[in-house]
Amino acid sequence: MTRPDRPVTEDDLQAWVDDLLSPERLRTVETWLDANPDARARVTAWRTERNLLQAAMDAELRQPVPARFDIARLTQRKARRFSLPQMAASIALALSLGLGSGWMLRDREVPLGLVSVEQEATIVHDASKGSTITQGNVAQLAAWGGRTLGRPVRPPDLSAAGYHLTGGQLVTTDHGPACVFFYKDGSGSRISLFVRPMYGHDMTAPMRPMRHMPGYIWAQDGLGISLVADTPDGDLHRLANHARDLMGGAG
Amino acid sequence: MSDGDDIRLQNAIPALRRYARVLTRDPHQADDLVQDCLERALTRLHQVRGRPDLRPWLFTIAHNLNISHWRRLRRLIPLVETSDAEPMQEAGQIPHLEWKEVADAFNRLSDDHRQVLMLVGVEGLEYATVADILGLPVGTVMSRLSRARTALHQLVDHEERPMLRRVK
Repeated sequence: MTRPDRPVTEDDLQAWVDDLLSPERLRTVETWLDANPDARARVTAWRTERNLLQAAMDAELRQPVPARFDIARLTQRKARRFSLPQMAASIALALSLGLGSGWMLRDREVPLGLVSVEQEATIVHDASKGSTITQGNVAQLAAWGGRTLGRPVRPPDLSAAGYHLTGGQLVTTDHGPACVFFYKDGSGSRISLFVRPMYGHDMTAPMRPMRHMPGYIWAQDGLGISLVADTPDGDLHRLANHARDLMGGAG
Repeated sequence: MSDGDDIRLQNAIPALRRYARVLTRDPHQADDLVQDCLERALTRLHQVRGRPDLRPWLFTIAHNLNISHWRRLRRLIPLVETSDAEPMQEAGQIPHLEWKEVADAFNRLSDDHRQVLMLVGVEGLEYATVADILGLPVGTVMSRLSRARTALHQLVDHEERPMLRRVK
């Protein structure tokens, strides 16, 4: 069936270009190409272009690999966090527990007002680490948020500060539903913007830094909002102010 | 996980980044895809313990992630679409004009054609391996490869013509 002298096919010509023919088959194909100069010209051009493309693209292999792709570092990070499904379950649990045991209760009581927003935002920011891109439709999420909260909840456009929106998520907290939006900048730095309605406490509150995370927290127009980053960044305060201004404009 | 697996994974990253750029056409999105891919790969590294070449496995993960997450995301969030003709290489990295012509022509091909040329012609993977990565029958890979090479050649040929005229 695979006689070396079977008729030459298009697949043989591709394999000739890629140098994947067996020695016997190569002899047959070469003989055929000798008798078909047009075909030889075609495969020779293909092979030239293949080699040129390879040479051009090999330049990319010599680019330095960014530190964020250091496997040792990624492995460490992975060890420190839960898998995504576990994480989703644990957030839901932690946020719905209220009183009881669990790590919501470091402060011994369920906090109220802005303090609770801070805790929730910390949990959610941590939980979404490495969660790739959320699959939620951000437009739908914003619309839902608008209906539930009785006002438009649009993720502020932070592109002027270099951050682009990568996704969003609805989360439940023990103070009701909340929206969280994720942003990234060109270097891969990630921030999350957590938004939920306030109920009686801290309806409007000045901005202050968060205690356990690099982030800022404030309340405006009855919404508790926090902006949380992975790493401390000198510009975070300015970014938070920028977000607050934009959201004030949208509200 | 053994150190050997770690090292093989680390060594495959440049090729993975390059393939991700072919998939996404955008260096930033490509690196986000690489990050997702590595995170997924790290949880499954035991499946490929001792395999000498991790590229096919990583490319499969990247290809599937690209289809499932990224395409949908790009549809949903136009903000993310920052893929404004950012050149794949700095001009200085391709000193030879011919390279640049072929690379330019390559960038104008369809996604399907670019992927198959990348995996077969640049990475030098065997046809059956490429078929596995792309989730296609080998016959489809072969016909796609033939069409991709024809298309690339037409573009290169077309770009060369003005130069030939100048020589006359």
